[in-house]
Amino acid sequence: MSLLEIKNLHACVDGVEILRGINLTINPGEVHSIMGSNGSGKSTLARVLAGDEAYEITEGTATLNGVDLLDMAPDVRGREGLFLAFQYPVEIPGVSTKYFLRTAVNAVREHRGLDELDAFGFLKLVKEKAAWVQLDPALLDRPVNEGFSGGEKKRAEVFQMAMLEPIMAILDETDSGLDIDALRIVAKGVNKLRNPDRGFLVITHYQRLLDYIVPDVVHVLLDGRIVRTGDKELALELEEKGYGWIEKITSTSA
Amino acid sequence: MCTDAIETCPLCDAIEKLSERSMSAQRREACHRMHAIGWPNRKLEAWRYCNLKDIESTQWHPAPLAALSQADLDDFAIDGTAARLVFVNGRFDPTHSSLLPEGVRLLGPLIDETPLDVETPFADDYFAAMSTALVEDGVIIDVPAGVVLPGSIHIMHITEGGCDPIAMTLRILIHVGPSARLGVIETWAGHGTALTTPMTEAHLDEDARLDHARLIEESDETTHLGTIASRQAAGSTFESAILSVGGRIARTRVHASLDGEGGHAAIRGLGMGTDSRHIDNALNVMHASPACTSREYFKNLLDGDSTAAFTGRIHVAHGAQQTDAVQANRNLLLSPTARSWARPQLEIYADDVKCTHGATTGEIEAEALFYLLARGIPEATARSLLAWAFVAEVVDEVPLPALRKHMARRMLGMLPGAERLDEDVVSM
Repeated sequence: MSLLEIKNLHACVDGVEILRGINLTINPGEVHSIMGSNGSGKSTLARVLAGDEAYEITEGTATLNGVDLLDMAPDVRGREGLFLAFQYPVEIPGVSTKYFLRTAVNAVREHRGLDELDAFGFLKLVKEKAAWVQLDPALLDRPVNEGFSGGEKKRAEVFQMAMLEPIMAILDETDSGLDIDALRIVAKGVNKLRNPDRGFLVITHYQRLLDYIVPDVVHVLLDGRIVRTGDKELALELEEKGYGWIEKITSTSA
Repeated sequence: MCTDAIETCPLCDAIEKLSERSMSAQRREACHRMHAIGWPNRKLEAWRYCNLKDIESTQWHPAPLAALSQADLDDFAIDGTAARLVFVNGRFDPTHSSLLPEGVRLLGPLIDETPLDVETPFADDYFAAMSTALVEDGVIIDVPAGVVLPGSIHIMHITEGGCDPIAMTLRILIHVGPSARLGVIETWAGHGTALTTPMTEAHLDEDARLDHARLIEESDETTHLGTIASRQAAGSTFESAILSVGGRIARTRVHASLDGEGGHAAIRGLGMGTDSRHIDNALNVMHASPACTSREYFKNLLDGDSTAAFTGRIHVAHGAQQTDAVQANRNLLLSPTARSWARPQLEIYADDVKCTHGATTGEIEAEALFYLLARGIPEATARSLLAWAFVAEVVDEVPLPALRKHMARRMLGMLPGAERLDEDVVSM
């Protein structure tokens, strides 16, 4: 059975249709990338899948492991194993990263029928996973994302992903604002998480990230539709010819 | 002097009877002032959001001599302070107090020879006048030049009341000498029906620093109408936090005067409103000299039918150039019947100044909630956590470490939905 299956998904915000019939199937172990220019609907797709209530779904279906995803509340999706690495991670002054994350980890564990992690077990896990993305554990005593640099925020998202062990991870422009070293670190963290059961949807504007996280399938999104699907060569072609090329060949074929 | 007042003023006649001692000249003067000012009604700008009807007709009784219960001591004491001065029903309680630190005296024995209200900025305030008319005791703190008192002095006022309504106050007079440093925490707490009208006056000499907090943990039947006044010489720093977690009305009027160049005043407020409580803060920050900075950060978390009002006046005098003043009032409403009002008032008579003010009232921020939900945290827990974050942010910034921990635990105990959070939220 496919892990994530999206069929003819349409979504609007403030009466404007952003997604106009997305079809996408991700099998366990696969890494898919969605590329597209600004405004093509990439981030909307990520947020719709995670359950952002600002978007209205007008048509279509999405299932996670065969279960209706769109029918689940956003927190249930999180506990069912869907993870969204935010493009702009939210700062929450007043709550330490550790407390926030322990709450999340234990909510997910409870849902999976596992025992709560005690303080010792949690800190051990934190130490191990923080090392994956070279995140200073001292940072985790700070309020959630507060005072983190742009790169630290993105690494912290991947760290959270490693802590929560999702079955389906969506990375929404995790590469934006990263220099090449930070990009390598983030990619290394993601690659460590790749396994035969887990799926990834890597949303990016640039091909660069895909040198480090090598996708099985590349999709190009234009005006809320997937207009082209290929292997990693498609990303290179897109990089070379630009998004204008896609627009041109799409309008020609239409 | 006060004869006509006794006939017409609802509280004046009570005051003589409430007092253990005969009225001194300055208390009579204050009593006369109460009469001249008159009972505040809601048509007055300063009292627009504060309903005093319930106490207008109250028959006040003398505060009984009472002993502090061990439970109250345990509940309201703050660990980690350098000294504790306990007052019960307006009177000093030596049994539960530490030895007076050097430079600290009781006001009681000195009250008639200590001029009160000489330069009070609250000459128009009925309850400030009442505070002087009623005052029998308090604390005088005088820190000599260059002395840094380690830790902080905790002044605890506990009401041990019963069915009869009682009215009490204390006067706290603080002088911090040049380059000296002091921390003072006040607690106002207790049981029974009461009216408390505390007044604290602080004078800071050049480069002095005072970290001050007033923690209002009064009973649900207590009306708390307090005042705080500060005068600051050049280069001094005054930090104050008004933490309102109790009382049916918790109103604090602050007058902070930046008299010398380069002074800094930061006044923070945190109110937690439950049931039909009213939290009211009225600030007047006077920038009288150039290059001073002031910060007013006031937040209220409002549940039930609670209400909160914030009035913030910033006055920048002619010639007070390079003034940097920030004022912010944020209200988080947890229930559809909670309400808040914010009134910024800026009066600027200099041209090279930076004054910003902002007021927001709203519900929990959608993006922060979505972020927590996306991590699998159940919605009810996520909402409690964000409400906690809203209040914890203020506590994190209070520069009195002993108070931070105490406040965090107190607020967690009061937070709607706190049962969904772990105690570690305070320490982790």
